[in-house]
Parts: sequence; structure tokens; C-alpha cells
Amino acid sequence: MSVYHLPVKTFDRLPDTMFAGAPFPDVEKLREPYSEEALTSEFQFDGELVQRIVDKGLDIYEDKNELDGWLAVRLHNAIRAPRRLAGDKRFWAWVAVEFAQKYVQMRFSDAGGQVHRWRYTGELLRNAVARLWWGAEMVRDGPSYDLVPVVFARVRTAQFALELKYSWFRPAAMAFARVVEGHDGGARLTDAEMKALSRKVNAYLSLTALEGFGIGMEGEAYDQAWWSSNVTYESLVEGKIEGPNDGHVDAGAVEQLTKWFRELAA
Amino acid sequence: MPQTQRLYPYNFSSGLHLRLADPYDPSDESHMFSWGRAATGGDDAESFDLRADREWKSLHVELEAHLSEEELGRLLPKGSALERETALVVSVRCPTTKYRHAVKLTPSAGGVWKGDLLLARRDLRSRVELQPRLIRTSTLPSAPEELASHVFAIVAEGRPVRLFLDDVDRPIRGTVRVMWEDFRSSTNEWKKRHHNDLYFLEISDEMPILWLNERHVSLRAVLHDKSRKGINAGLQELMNGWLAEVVWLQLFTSSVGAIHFEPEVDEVVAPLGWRRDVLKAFVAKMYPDLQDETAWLRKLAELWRSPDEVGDLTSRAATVVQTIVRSQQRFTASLRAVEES
Repeated sequence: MSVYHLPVKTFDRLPDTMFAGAPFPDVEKLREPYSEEALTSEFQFDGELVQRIVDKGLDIYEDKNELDGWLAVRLHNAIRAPRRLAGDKRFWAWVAVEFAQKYVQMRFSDAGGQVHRWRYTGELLRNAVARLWWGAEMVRDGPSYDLVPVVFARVRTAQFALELKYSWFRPAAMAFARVVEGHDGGARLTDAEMKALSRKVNAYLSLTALEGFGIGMEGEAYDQAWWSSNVTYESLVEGKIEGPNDGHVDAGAVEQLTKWFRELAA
Repeated sequence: MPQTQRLYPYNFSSGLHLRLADPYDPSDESHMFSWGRAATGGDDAESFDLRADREWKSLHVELEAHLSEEELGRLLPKGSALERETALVVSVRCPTTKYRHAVKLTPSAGGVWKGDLLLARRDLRSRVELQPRLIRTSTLPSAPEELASHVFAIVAEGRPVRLFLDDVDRPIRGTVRVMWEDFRSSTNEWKKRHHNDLYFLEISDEMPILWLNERHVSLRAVLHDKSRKGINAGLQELMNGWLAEVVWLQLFTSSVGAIHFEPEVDEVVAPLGWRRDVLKAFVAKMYPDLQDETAWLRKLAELWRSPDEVGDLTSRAATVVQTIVRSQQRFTASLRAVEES
């Protein structure tokens, strides 16, 4: 199907009832075709597939964090968007409103059934769906999504592993998630310990170049075939799911950073 | 004038300079880049403006970094093997797409490093920053205490070079678009419900829009009046000033509120686009001593969250607004227009 977005000027026209869970069929009146040059690759969007994946996840999981980990991998695999497009909150506002309302409401509604508007229209890590996609993109290692459920194991882990500047550097986001969730063989950190570690990492990075850990990883070929291909519902719910064969991480860099973060956490 | 500076526990240089040259698109070598220096760069970074250029798919540029040999001598032990013990890396970052990669440059002549950068447009949005850093790649166990000794220590840094790619990073001039609409027939429910209002400021990441209510025929008549003397001229001066004050104050509060601040981890990130430009303009007048961007962002965010200090912040902002809008001069001009009628 065509790719659309919700222009920012339409955000205020989303009715209050929608944020309380009422269907909003009029989204078709607000959306606009995505015409800008962000669609540089042969990106194809399958809204029905997104909706089916969301429904399946809601059927399987009651635990919200487990649901996030499961959905993140599959939504990333189903929405093969270039980062240029995935960096546009207007695109994610459309996806969240038109295809993922059930998930947004189930995952983020308060005791009164209300969801903050920014779970639909907010920045990338606030929008409920974009948050999942970006979480998967930021910690995948080439085609491997192994660490994605780890990042979403706790809301605070996702927050600290994904939202800070060091998170943009894939090996750092991965190492942080491994350490705080105890996937390096060490102890799992409490929320307070996680916060303290993040503070320390930020402080040390004023003197230490994160990029030093990844020297030599530049210049990797883009997996055009993967990004421009389609995926089926069956392969997303039955088979082993593999991401693009690009964005590989230097295992040595992740190990080094993991060791360093563990020392800082001690 | 005092400035906020980061203090390093070892010799450090901020004298690294990065130059970009010979841009071309490898996917279309006939493409000529409109490679203009950006007006938004201000005084803190060199910037290039590619916003008008919407055709490119990839961008190749030559990178050349310079650091004086005298500075190098201050940062590294005598006899250091530059290539083995250090690396000149350019950190390439796009905040919107969370793109962060490093490009390693090769030492050339004394104090010069060269390399190439290839960017794919599909990976980027809004703006890209290129920051050069000279780092140690090995430890230096027996280093004199004034020298950095740990692996990946940053020993020299340069100001980032920014590439503006998309229109969301607009300069402060021309920040607000003015539109007329009869609020009674607006598609915006809020405006429709407040159909007697004079104006509505629609704030978004794109250019904010000041909607003026066409329903008030006399408002349009006053604001569009060409006369230089008389009641209408005086009113026009006052109305323009009043609207400008309200708009600027709203832009300011919206921009401060958009600062991403995590006090627990001391992380502060500037808002993008016009909001950052608005904040820069205000801070220069409110807190002229704070020149480091991280410092003033943190200060604004802290004041904004403090129940005791947010009042002072907005009061200062209102003072700045009067300076920007030239409120006093407008008042005098309006009086004169009325008196001379």
C-alpha cells in the first residue's frame, strides 16, 4: 500500500476519544501521501501485516515487556524503512493511529484507560510503535535480533540503553543492555544501579572516545535486497527471523565495552 | 567574558580543524551540489546548507584535519609513533536517525590527516554533525602525568562541522508564517470552539503558523492599513507589537519545554530546528555569560523544572521579548502616529 504520514498540523485534530481507546476511522481524512524523497529505497509498506502482527502479539503475551520484545523484532522485520523515513515522527504517528491502536492502548493506557497523546504523535522513542522499531534497529547485530528482547526486558533498560547519546553507537547500546540485564554473566542491576552506571558512562565518555571501540567497522555494504523485499505473516510468526545483512557489530568492541561497563558498575 | 570550559586532567587541545572539500554524488557524478555555507551555523560551528538540494542519494566528501605540530608535541610524548599510538577519527552523527559512525583519517604531512566520507541519504534526516577527534589507541603506562595515557583518550578535538539537510532546521529569521482564517469554519476543533479569539499560534516542528481570525474584519483592516498617521496607524503599531510579543513568548516556552533533559544521568539534548535557534537568541540576551551550549541548555532545563525559578525565567524571557520586538519604540511610534493625525 502507499505510504502516508500524519502532518503535524493534524495532531490536534485527533479526537480525545481515540486516546481513551475508541476507534478512529477518520484517520483517512487526516493522512497525506508520503511524497518526499525520504523514500529513496524501494520501501513497501504493508499495513495489514503490521495489524496482524500486533493482533498476534496481543493474543500471545500478557506480560508487557515480553510483548515489546516479541513485537519489536517483528515490526522491524515487517517495516523495512530506511532510517531517513524511520526518523520521521509523522510517519510513525500514522502507523500508530491507523494500525496499532490496540497495542498502544493495551500497553500504555493508565488506570482510567487513557493514553498520552505522545504515545501516538511523540518523538521516536516516545511513539509506542517507533520505540519498538528503533529498539530493534539500535541493538541488532547484522541479521541477529538476539539482544532485542533483552533491551525490552524492563522499561528502564530500554530507556537507558536507547535514549541517551551513547545509545546511537550500536556496540554501546548492546553492551549496556547486556550488563544491566546480567547477560554478560554478571549480576542484573537494579534500576538505581542502572541509573548510576549510565551517569558514570556519560561522565567517562567526556574523556574517552566511544568511536575508538569501533575503528575499522565503517564502510559496510547496505543490504539493499533485504530492505527492498517483502516478508510474509507466516515467516514472522513461525520461522526464525533474520534482519538485514548489514549493521554488523564488532564483537570485540561489544566485549570491550561490556567489560568496561561492568567494571564501572562494580 | 567568562565561558564554560571542560577541564581535562591532561594536556588537551581544541585546536583541531576539519575541512570538507570536493562534494559529489557517486551515484550521479553529474550532480552538482549546492554547497552553501549555512546562515544557521552562527558562531559555534562551521555549517553547510544542502537544504535546497533534494536530488542527491549519496554524498562523498574529502576530509582534511589539521592540528599544529606544536600542539601535537604538547599532547604526545616525544618520539610517539603517530600512526600506531593514535587515530584521527571523525565522529559522524545524525541526531534524528541516531546514526553514529566513525571515519578514520590517515596521517599525511605533519599535523595533517586525510580521508573520505561517504554518506547515504537514506540514513540521514535533518542534519549531520562531523566532529574530529584525535584519540590514543594504546595505553601509555609510563606517561608523564600531564599526558593522556588511557586507551581511546580524547587528546584533541575540533568544532563540529554541520550539514543541514532538510527544512526542519530553519534559521530564526522567517520562523513564523502568518495565515488568515475564519475560525468559525476552521477544521481545527479548538480554534472553532474559540471562534471569537483574535489569533491562534500553531506550533510544530515545521514552521509555526500564526493564524489570525478573519472573522474580525476590523483586525484585518487595522493590520493591513497603509497609512502612516492616524488612529489606525497607531493601533497597527500596537497590535503588531502585541502579537509579536505573545508569539515570541510562546515560541520561547515551547522551545524550553522541548529540551530533552535527564538530570539523573546529566544528559541534555537541544531541540531541533527553529526551537534551538530561538533558544540561542534568547540565551544570548538572558544569560550572556553562558556560551557553552550544553551549559545553557542545562540551565534553562533546570530553571524550567524548578517551581521557585520558573517565574524568574519567564520574566526574563518577557524582558528579552520586549527587546526583540522593540516594544518601547513601538509604543512611542504609536503615540506619535495618533498625535500627528
